[in-house]
Amino acid sequence: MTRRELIMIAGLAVAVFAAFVLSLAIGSTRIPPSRVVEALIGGGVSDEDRAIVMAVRLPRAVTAMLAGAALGIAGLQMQTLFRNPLADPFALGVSSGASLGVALVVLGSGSIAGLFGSTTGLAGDALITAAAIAGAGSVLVLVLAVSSRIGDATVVLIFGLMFGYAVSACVTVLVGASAPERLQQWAQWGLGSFSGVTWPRLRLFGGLTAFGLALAAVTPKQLNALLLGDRYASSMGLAVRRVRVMTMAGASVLAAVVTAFCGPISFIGIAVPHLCRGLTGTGDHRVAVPAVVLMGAVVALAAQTVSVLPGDGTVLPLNAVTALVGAPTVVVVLLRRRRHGGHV
Amino acid sequence: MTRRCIERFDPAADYFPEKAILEDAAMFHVEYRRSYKVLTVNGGQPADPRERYVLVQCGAPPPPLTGDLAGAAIVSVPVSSVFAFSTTQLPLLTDLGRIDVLTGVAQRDAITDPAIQRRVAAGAAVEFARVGLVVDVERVVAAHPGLLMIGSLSNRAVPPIRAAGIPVVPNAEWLEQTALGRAEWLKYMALFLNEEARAQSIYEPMKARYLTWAGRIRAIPAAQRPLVMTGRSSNGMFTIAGGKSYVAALIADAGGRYAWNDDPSAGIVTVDIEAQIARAAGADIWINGGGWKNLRAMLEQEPRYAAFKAVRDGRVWVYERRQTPSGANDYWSRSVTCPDIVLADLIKIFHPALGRDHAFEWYMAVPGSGAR
Repeated sequence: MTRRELIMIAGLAVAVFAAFVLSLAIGSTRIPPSRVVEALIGGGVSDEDRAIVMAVRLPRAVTAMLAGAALGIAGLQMQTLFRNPLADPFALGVSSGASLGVALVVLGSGSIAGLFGSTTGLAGDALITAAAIAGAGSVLVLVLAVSSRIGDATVVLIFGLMFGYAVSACVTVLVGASAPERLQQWAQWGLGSFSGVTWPRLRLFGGLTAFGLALAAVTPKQLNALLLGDRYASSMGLAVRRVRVMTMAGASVLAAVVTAFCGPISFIGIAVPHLCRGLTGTGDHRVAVPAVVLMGAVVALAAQTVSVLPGDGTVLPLNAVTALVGAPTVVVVLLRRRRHGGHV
Repeated sequence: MTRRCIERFDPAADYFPEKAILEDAAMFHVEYRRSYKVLTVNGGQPADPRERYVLVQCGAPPPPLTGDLAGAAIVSVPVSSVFAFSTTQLPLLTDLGRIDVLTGVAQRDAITDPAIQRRVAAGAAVEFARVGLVVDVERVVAAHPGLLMIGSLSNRAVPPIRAAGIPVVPNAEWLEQTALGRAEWLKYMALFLNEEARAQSIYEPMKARYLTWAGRIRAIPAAQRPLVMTGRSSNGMFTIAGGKSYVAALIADAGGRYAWNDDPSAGIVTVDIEAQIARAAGADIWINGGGWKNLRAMLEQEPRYAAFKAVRDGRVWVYERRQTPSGANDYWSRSVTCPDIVLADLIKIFHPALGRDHAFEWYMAVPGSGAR
């Protein structure tokens, strides 16, 4: 890691801290910062303030941080795996696969309420998460199977999109056959939210995302080799197949877990790796992995904070915020990079 | 006269001697013009424009649709067959004693009234939105009812059904700002059946009972009125009654203080759990949530419910006393036209001493609580 890259990483870490503090300080209700601090350190504040800070804002911020990091890494892994800058959990249908897994469990058991935890406890969460991972994994395996036969990355991407459409159609059929009040809940789930993960659910969510992130953290060299092409990678003595499978598994777990708990959150997966390359100027995974983890956390926390800005209980859909705020940022970063002669 | 068609039209005759006089409803309006009624109604969603309908007595020539009637749709009355989209529209027919005109229901599973269930079972009424409440346009067009009462006119099925010559009217009862206004939609249904007199004869005594109940709590000082919260959380977002909804009005009339009193919306509104905690953590009573087996299941589903005093005190009330195992709820089928009973239930919850002579009709405390 060069000195510049180190400074970048340190800067991002500071940004994560700042975004985390902001997302604790700002919510849809107004609580003076001093009372937020009091609530955090267990000082004498009202029960309302304590509940808001400790039971709503804190788990939400932790969830946002983990989800942002997870989606960013999943995006990075897929962009590397397919050697395609447009790959992300959405474009390749992986998020749709996770949604289908969720819908199958929930609607198959006759109760979409399970998805939202109204009938099932943590065991239900585990089942839904497993189904989401299975759904995401199957789509990714299919896409990879196609990509191993067809070298053209664009064609593979189109295959991914088509898988995504087909899988979404299955979800639509399932949802269409369920009761209207459940449809409303489904629609709300589709908007994406970090607010649904409470402390008990956070244990499972945190454990699984930590596992996925750890997997990415120990394989930066292998990912670098993949970036240079399979033949080159195997000439370096890399078990290409094993690395691919491991990376694939990691990306599926990360994308699926976030989808199961927070809904299909778009944009972060594709944008964060680009933002990081723009900032650090390198595709080296030894830099990219930590940078993406931190940048993902910053973006998700910032999106969360912006979504509650209207105040008094009104919350903007998270997916709208990630795209509306994030898309122009990515465009600016890419344009600036082009001007400086970089490549995507 | 009211049920028969005009045989020899007399332009000077008043064909509607029995007229609806609206006292509380604000979302529709009617004006009588000898052989036709001019109905103006909200489209069924808060932002929907008002629509105008001309209800022409059958046998009378339709008036020219010019001037204030330009763009209005014509409905021939009295209608002899009605498709009802929502179970909340069924009590309008039941109360008027006119389920004989009901020829279509959205979903039979949602029906709790045995008489209507029998009607569906006998084939006298068909199901027209069985899957996911999506209107089966072909089925409606094939049956060609005299009227389709829908929830909102923004429903995508409306244009093709209208194009087939079937009158479609909205029902915006849930946007009324008082429970009495909502109940007065009985007269709305009556307009299409020429049953204004019967509607008035039902509405008047009900309103009197409502006002009597409301009168009981008038003397209670603000300090003794419990703070009340509504709704339920899904993924950290609470769906609650708006501050200008009929539910908010019911809470006030029952001697409660609604936590979102200053919210400007009618109908329902979604707020995040943080804002709900900020406003309602200290609420004494929680009403109109639902779907919980007991308080423990409630907390398992959403641990943050523990932040609410009403949960800790076990004072969570839902209108599920008469709900079938399949989820069909009698509350939705009957409460529209009986706000006096809803009010009595709420008074008994908020001020048990004042409701001692009343037996709960729809409300029950969520079990596992030391319900009072």
